Amino acid sequence: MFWRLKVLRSVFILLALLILSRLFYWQILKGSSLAILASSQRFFSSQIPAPRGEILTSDQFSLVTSQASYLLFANLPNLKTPPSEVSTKLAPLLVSSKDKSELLEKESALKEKLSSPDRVWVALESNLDEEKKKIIESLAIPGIGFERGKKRFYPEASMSAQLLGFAGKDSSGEDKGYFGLEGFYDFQLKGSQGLIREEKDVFGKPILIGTKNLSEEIPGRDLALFLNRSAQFVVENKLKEGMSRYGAKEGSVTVMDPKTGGILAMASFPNFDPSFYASSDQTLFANPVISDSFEPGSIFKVLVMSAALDAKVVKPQDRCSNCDGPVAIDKYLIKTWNEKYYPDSTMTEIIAHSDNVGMVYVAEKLGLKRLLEYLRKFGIGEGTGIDLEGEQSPKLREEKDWSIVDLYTASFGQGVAVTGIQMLSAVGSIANGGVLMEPHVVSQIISGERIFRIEPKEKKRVLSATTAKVMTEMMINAVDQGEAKWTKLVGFRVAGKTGTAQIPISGHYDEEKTIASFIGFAPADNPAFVMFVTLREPETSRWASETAAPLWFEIAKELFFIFNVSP
Amino acid sequence: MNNKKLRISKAVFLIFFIVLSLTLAKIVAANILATTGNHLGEIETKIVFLKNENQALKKEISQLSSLGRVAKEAESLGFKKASFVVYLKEEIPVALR
Repeated sequence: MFWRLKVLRSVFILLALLILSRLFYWQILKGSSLAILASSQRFFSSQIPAPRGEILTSDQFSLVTSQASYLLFANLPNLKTPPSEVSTKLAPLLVSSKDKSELLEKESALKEKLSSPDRVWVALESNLDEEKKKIIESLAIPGIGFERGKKRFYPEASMSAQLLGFAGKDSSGEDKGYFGLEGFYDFQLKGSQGLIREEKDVFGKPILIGTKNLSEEIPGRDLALFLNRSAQFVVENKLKEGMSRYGAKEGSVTVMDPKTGGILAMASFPNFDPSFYASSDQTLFANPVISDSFEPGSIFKVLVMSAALDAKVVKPQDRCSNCDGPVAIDKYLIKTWNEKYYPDSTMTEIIAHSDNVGMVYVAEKLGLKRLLEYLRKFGIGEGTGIDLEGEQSPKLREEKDWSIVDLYTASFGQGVAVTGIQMLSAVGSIANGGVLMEPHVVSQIISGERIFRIEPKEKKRVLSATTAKVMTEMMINAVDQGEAKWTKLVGFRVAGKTGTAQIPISGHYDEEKTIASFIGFAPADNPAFVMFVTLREPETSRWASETAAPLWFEIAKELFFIFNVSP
Repeated sequence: MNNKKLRISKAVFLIFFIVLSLTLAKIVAANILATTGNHLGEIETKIVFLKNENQALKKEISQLSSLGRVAKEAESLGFKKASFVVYLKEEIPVALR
């Protein structure tokens, strides 16, 4: 009997050892992997996407905001309806046109995705809006679902498209801004996504007393612009009308506050719809006002004359000694635009008549060294520093690369290249008493309750206050007495200058094709705005006095109301 | 001796009672809190719903107050651009004593 007890005891000890070894295996050897498995069953992690910041006009209207968008997907194992039937139901809702071939193509693409043999989940269509989602939901197709996301929404459609840029995706599928404000301020706008890791019960509900790790998302910052919505609306409509009336291929208008450098309106056509950037012509993404350079023509005369006045090499009442006929330089003959000559013209009259021969006289007096010095002070040949992605700047040639002909032609704006924003800033300095301001689109960056104001930045003093005043009077006289005097607005003192620049093509200037422009500020004594209008290759007339100038005054008439300017 | 034994047994009983009560209280609290996850889930869903609704309403407000739409509506209602503008002077055109 005793031996039976011993055997039983041994069996129990053996069983206990077996259990212990098994426990050792599961708790010690497999413990960490089981803990991870348990944790994955209990803990749920998800990213908290950061909402992208909005872009607001000066009246706090959202020019760019975000809206819900949905990704339509199919969970193939749960799809009870045959793929052909599902694709027939969905295709008409996912094509924008009534084109039959497009519909058939869509149907075929959907059917192929839904028939994938080795897939469990397929994306069918992205960026669907709320209305489309509701329609598809009403079809009640089992296995079809939606994943919510966000996309940019533009309440004013394509208004200021090139100024805004657009938000696309980068190579890793994250939101990224391209061009304009979206590109320049991408880091501020995107914010930082958060992460939440919490315990949930078997039904997927959070456990209040469970573990929760939260790293909160940082929403993107909002941008408040100097942009005046009414001014932008007027500028876009008038520019569109003007381009149609004058048959211009391209056009742009930029309005700036010369005292702060704040951009009040900026429009260019042709443009694109940022909601549909993927299907737009990519050549239209770049903002021509900051990216495209051109030979400015006669509007450049105001800079050269300002330089000569400031350098005290000429005075307004000085008379031109060689203005009685064309000037021969080397193998070239420099003539006036209308082949009319005004002997003994004063400097004021040279600007009023837009006299190329008179400007040659001024350039001779100024000299190349001083001309280049002043052009650099005006910011010609370098970026303005505007807060938009994509600014380009044609380089100003070194002094040694200039010939005497280059000096003379530059005096009336040919043979030298500028961008629209450079020209606007430079003339803006005349309007601002001789001080050059850095142009800026954004006035404030808003982060929740905190507002960071971007202070206006004075770049440098280009001209003395006296020179600026004198040049302003010359420009007023140019408007009152020049070839565009028929367009001026009664009761308002406007300082401005027309420019009709020939376009260089294959090493020579085209006889017919021009860039017609008008640049000016008003009211001249206390400018509320400085505006630059350009029309490329207008067909009705090549002259700025008959195209860009009347358009400028048409827009200015509306801007006077908007900015409360009375005569 | 008996008194001492009685006091010790009373103390043990008291400690046991406190431990038992606290254990029961913890079980009850955990039981209540465990089911609040449902309520919490509902609140979270409601928050998401309200945020989405706010966003949709904000979008609608933006669309309705866009200048493009206002201009079209004004035109369809028969509003016309003013053809004649009179600027009023700041000085009051009456004699003052």
